[in-house]
Amino acid sequence: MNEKHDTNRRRTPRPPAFNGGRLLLATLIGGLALPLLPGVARSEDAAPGSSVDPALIQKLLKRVDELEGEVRQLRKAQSSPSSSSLAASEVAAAKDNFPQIQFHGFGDVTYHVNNGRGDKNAFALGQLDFFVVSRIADNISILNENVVEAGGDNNFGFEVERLLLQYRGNDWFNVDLGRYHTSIGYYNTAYHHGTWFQTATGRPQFLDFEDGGGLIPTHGVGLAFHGAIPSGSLNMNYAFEISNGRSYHSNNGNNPVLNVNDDNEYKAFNLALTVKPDGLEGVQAGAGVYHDTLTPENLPRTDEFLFHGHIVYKNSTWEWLNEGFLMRHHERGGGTHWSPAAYTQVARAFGKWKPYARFSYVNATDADNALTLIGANGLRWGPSVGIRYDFSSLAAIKLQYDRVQQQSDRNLNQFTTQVAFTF
Amino acid sequence: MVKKLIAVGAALAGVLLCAQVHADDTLAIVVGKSSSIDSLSAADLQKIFKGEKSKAPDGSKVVVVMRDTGSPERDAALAGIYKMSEAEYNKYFLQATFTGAVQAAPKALSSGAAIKQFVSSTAGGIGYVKSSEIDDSVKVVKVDGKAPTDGDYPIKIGGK
Repeated sequence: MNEKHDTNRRRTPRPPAFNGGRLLLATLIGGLALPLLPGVARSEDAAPGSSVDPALIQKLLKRVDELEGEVRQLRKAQSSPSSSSLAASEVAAAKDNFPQIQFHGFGDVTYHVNNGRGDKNAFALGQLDFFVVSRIADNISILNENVVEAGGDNNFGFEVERLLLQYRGNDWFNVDLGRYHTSIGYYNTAYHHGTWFQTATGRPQFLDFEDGGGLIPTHGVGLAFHGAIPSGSLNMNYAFEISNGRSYHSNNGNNPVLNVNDDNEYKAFNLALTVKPDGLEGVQAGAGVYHDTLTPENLPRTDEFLFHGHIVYKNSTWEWLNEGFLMRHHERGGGTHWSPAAYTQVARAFGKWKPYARFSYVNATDADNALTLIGANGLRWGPSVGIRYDFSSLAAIKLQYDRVQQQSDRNLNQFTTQVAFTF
Repeated sequence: MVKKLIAVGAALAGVLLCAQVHADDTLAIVVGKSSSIDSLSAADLQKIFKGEKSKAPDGSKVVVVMRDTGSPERDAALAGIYKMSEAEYNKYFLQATFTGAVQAAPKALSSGAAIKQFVSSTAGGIGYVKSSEIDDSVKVVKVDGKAPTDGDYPIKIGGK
């Protein structure tokens, strides 16, 4: 019988490391060794009365035959033309064919109640965010993010938030052309308009978008260069951006992002560096500076510097975000104003639940006339606490309480419930 | 006594062969035969598979290919290379695409045979198969200097 098995093995060429063959050989050797062991011996000099059931042996040998048959079938299936042609057609389909379009959407619905003057408790549709990215060549893609959102007048508005032609040269040199999110800090580059990505119901107030009274220029229209800097285990990256900058004019219906026309000849520059050290998985730290020369409405020309830094620790369980900003406005022939802002946010996941807390602070001085023009000044600080529950891998509900101490108004207490999703 | 020694020797041989069978429970990183990649650190392997690096340390371009959802090989890659669950992987690539950090998530194929065909026919192709599926059409990449048959090879199937 063993000879028969040996013959079968010779007939079928065996791959170098075939699992079934080794298992079979191991079983056979183990089976051969077993009778030699004391207590289970089946030798001719075995003690009278100790016997092995011949039927059992036949049954086992039959099973070995069956297993060998299965092995042969599997080998045949692996090398059959239909199997390899199936693989070939699948591989052909997986090869790059352009354009390759991906579409995603994000949205949220919120209910809030607070003690703000004139504010009524209300359900609110959040931003309906349509995101498309299309690879049109090996190194070139188009990224587009459009948001439909209702304003305070309940009418819907549409805005192109990002529209980029992206060239991916190599790890060290990549170029984006169009409207982008500025690489100022962490939050603005990590979450964009996707509320579902964010643990909390919204951004820290001073990081709100330009049309929401935020302090930071979150969008830019121009050119962005980014990539890695050879730095070993430090994994340093750079971003250098040139854009029209932000409009510093009173809100008269004009878009604060200079999409088509610049209001002066100056361009805004932003340089940011980030590191993600190999030995500190989940840690990212970064710093940078943004500069623009402003020509605010009815004000002297103003030099703007925005210094920004962050350190973030994020993994599947913990999230600890820390960012700091320092805005400097120097009115030529006038005063210099400094406006600091910072937040820290910590969250920990317990399965689908994720409690979180945030503390934010901004002191955009009232003496800064440029900030007064865009409604971003004031002293505000306070905590937020909340909990997020991911009831699906693509949707979450969040409950959040915010308390905002305000210099210019009474303190605000707000409860928010939000359902955020992606599709 | 001689019989006992033979018995012990045969049993040991059986155990050793069984240990060889366990070597098949590793996930072999494979590239095309013409690839210049011979070995990668676990850190570089993770960066390549996450799309953080588009080039191998020697400067050659890489194109990552995954197994389809639910396969043991994919689960092993998620646990051993990405250190992520399937849901975390999906969220990671959705966000990375959203931020523009990567152009797309890796393509997924339904069999080891397809993976081997892909990496052997695509310049810079890199994927993974069970070590028992390795054949002459692909080259195996060492991870942290270790081959899939080494006992302390870091990427195992089924978390073994």
